[in-house]
Amino acid sequence: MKEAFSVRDWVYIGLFGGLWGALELTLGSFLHLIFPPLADTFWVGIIMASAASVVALMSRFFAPHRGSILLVALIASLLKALSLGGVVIGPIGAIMAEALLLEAGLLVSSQPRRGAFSLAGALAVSWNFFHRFAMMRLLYGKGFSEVGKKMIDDGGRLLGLEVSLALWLLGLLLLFRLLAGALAGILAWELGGPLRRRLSRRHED
Amino acid sequence: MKIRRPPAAVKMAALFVFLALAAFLPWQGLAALGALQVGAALLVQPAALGPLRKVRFWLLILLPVVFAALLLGGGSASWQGLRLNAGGTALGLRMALRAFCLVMAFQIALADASTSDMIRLFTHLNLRGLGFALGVAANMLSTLRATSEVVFHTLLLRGGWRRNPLRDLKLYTLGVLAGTLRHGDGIVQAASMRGFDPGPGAKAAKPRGLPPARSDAGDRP
Repeated sequence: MKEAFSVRDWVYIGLFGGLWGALELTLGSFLHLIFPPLADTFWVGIIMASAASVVALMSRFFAPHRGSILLVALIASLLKALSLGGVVIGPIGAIMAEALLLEAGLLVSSQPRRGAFSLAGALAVSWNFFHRFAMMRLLYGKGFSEVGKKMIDDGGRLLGLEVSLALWLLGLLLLFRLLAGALAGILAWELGGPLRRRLSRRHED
Repeated sequence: MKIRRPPAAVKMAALFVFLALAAFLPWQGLAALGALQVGAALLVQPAALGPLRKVRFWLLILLPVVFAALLLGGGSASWQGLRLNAGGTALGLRMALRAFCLVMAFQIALADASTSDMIRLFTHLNLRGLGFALGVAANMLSTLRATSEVVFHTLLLRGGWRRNPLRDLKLYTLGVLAGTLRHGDGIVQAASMRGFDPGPGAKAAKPRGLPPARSDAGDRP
């Protein structure tokens, strides 16, 4: 795991970064068209984060170095930034945060394992839950926390919602994301392993 | 007057300076920084001003001012029947200025940057591998499009996408991935044959053992 990156590793990083970038440019734009970003953050986030987790985790089979997913994400975010749509800070922040969480999840095991993949996927997709708050906090500074708290208080009072019920709902939404992420991790394991073995056989032939 | 486009390294350095300033400056400083960024963009990077023409950008910038003015504090002034708060408005303005400066910082750094600019920057920073990977990624997009079309139509011609779409989606994904990885094998071979070394200290590889190119080579029968 500590060897330097070879030409093959860099090519795979480029390929998987390109795949992730292509997903962001095509599927991401398409989903944002169907669900306007201000109206829906749930489905777009879950679909995009799950698909990205599958691609990024599969790259670990082909470039088996710590930090390789971060490099894949860097390539994907550069492609997104250099695309025609212009610089979009939100998706770029999400790509890098998901990559960090994927790497953190894979730290639990020195060798690729299904459990580690599943945990990494769950962590990465759960970022979708915190993303909007984190990006708003980054963009607007600490004033956002003050305004956000006041909005939640006033909104809760207006709708007559109990705080505990709101917390339950938020917990449920987070759980749904964790499950989707875990499934994405398992899917990456199921797709990446056979593909890697098949490719190795071809190289031996 | 338009000054020549600065190199990517200068724009990246400017990005980090702008980000640091936007994080710590008070609102007066943020207003000055925003004006400076717009001026710099007009001079060197007019493309960076693109978002200023979009309604969504101004919604993003101005919404916190409205919310903060209406929600925070008890309401020290009144406008059109709405109770506004001076403290809240000031806080909202600071938030809006900070968001404006951050968005402009990224716009100036990346608005008309190209893949070759970034590759040059990575090579300059001794990160040849990363530049190489970015080049691979940018060049594979067209190959990926062709591969995905071929796989999609192959499945369609074999009766796919009707009875078991989930299984066909898996086959489609595997087909596209296998095609992409095969494309990668070709790149690895080509790079190795040219003696490409992505190591941090590596210089651009020169072909060895070949005779110097002759100027009259094209005249030979």
